[in-house]
Amino acid sequence: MEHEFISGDRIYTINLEKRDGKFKAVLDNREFEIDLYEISSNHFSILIENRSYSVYHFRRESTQYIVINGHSYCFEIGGEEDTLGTKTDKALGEGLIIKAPMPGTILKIDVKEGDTVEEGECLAVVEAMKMETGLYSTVRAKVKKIFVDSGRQVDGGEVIIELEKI
Amino acid sequence: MFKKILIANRGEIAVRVIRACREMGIKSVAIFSETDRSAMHVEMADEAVFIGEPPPLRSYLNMDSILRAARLTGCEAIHPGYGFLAENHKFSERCEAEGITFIGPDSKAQMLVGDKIASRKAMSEVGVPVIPGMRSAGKDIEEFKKAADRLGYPVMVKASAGGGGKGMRIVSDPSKLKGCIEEGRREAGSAFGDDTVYLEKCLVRPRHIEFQILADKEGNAIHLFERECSIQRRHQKIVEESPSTALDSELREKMGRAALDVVRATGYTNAGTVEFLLDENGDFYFLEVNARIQVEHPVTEMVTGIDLVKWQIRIAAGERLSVKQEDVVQRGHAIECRIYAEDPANNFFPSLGKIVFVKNPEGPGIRVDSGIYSGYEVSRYYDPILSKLIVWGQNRDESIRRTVCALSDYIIIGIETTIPFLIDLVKHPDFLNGAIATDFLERNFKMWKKSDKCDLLDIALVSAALSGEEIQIGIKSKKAIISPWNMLGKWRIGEK
Repeated sequence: MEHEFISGDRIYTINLEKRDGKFKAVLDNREFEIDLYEISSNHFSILIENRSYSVYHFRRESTQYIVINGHSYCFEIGGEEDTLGTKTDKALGEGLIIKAPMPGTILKIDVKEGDTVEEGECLAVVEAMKMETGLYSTVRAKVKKIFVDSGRQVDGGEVIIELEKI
Repeated sequence: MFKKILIANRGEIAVRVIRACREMGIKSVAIFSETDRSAMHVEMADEAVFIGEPPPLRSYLNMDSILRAARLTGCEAIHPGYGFLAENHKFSERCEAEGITFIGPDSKAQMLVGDKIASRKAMSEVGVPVIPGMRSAGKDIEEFKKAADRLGYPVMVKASAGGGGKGMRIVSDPSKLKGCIEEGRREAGSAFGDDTVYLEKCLVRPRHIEFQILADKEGNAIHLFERECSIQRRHQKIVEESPSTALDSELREKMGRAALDVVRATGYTNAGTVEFLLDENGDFYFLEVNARIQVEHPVTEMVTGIDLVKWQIRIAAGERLSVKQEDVVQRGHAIECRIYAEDPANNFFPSLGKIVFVKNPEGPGIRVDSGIYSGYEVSRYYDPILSKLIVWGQNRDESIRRTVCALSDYIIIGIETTIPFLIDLVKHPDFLNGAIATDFLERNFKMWKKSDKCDLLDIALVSAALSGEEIQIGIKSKKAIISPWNMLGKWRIGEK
């Protein structure tokens, strides 16, 4: 079966097959024979060419987390239409949709609709876990729409400000 | 000695205090908010009392509920941990009034050291150097402006009741002064209920060095040497070590004496920390006294072998400090890394949610002070500290190598943590050379990203596919599962 993962700007395709209780994986025309032993629901041990790797894994929505020998990886899961769709939206909206990074309270909004903002300019301040954090623009843009008033509670991922390319 | 103690805190520090109680044969009482019903401190304590809703003001800062819980369970003393009510003199006054021992300094000493403006004055009087700054809180913006001009930019806005970096702002540009004072006031007001701020001269590239002290009620006081705490982000420490590479034995002795002068000048008792800033010329300035057990106290415990929490309890119970200054020696080197529920690649934003799996590192010289377990839910209401990894080695080099190994073996899955960042941090050449100052992170790690460039990428991708394969097999009959691990039972590949 085919699996697709996105890391940075690259898409990786892995073909996985199960034969006689062992897995065979093909990645970039290279073949790996894998012996897998599941230790717990988030932990398996694999042997590839007699080398052993202890792998911790976890999937949340379209993100796959992997930790191997102390190195952690985070991949976007591709291959399904809806996840690819999200990916494209993300690219289109790069830096233009300002979302609350976590649940909290909007302390203040520093801009108003129609303002031009510079790269690095503070747009709003969110408070969560007793810390104030500024949300900064990563691009030079125009403020298209402000969705929330200061003082309001927001959920993580809630859109606060939409910017427009200039 | 006390028979029963209430721990007015949560998370790893509550667990730490419960451990000390257990070893001393003292019964422990935990308190918990709605969110913390299944928290580790609740599981570990002998008794646990519900004290209110999740927001701290309705639970861990609610003096009425906490004192009621202490009376209800017949506690003779309250250990406040750090944060929350630890440095609130109104709370210790109320404990005193109710005949419950507050494990910490008395309210008078607490009030003096808690008021930064008053303590700066007290220190100058006994000849301990302080950072040039305002002698009283500014009344209006004009007064702040004048003070800033006199001190010269950059200046530091500080909360008089402050701690933990709350309300602190560095101002380099005069036009930003007003905004920073307003921000500082708001943050201080919501964190401490006191929005008094003042200005201090901002030292360039100082180190943050602090001395641990213990003082009993009979006037005996010792220091337990320094902790180097220069690695900070947002004025919050993230890695601490002892000894510091910046001190030679002469400077160490001088600063230790100054720390004890501070103790005597304030009539301070119990465990405390005297914080100093050390500039590039080797001149040091009194910063503040932290009138509590500190997050980084294990570093001192590892190098001196002295259990600070137990001594807090003994001193509060009226015992004499039997450890003499000459008995305290620094043995080897210890490093603490704070594991926060934060995304280091995204401006250290809090990372909330369920921790699906935790595995602590093990081995010689490794200590983990933790408040989490597999299945623990990180709440937005409290400080994002999850645990602390403290590593001891014969020397600094060994303890750094051991720290890297232990961090690599520390598995927390389900949320972002500071672990991958910490691994890169302790491997940085400036850290290895001990060439650190409070701007270390700003200088070297401003745009840190998790690196995917590693030999293991192939293995990681293959593993990701294997992880996906299991899910695919598992959901044959169910479509559109968002988090399969929450919904599926245990099963094993290869089984029919």
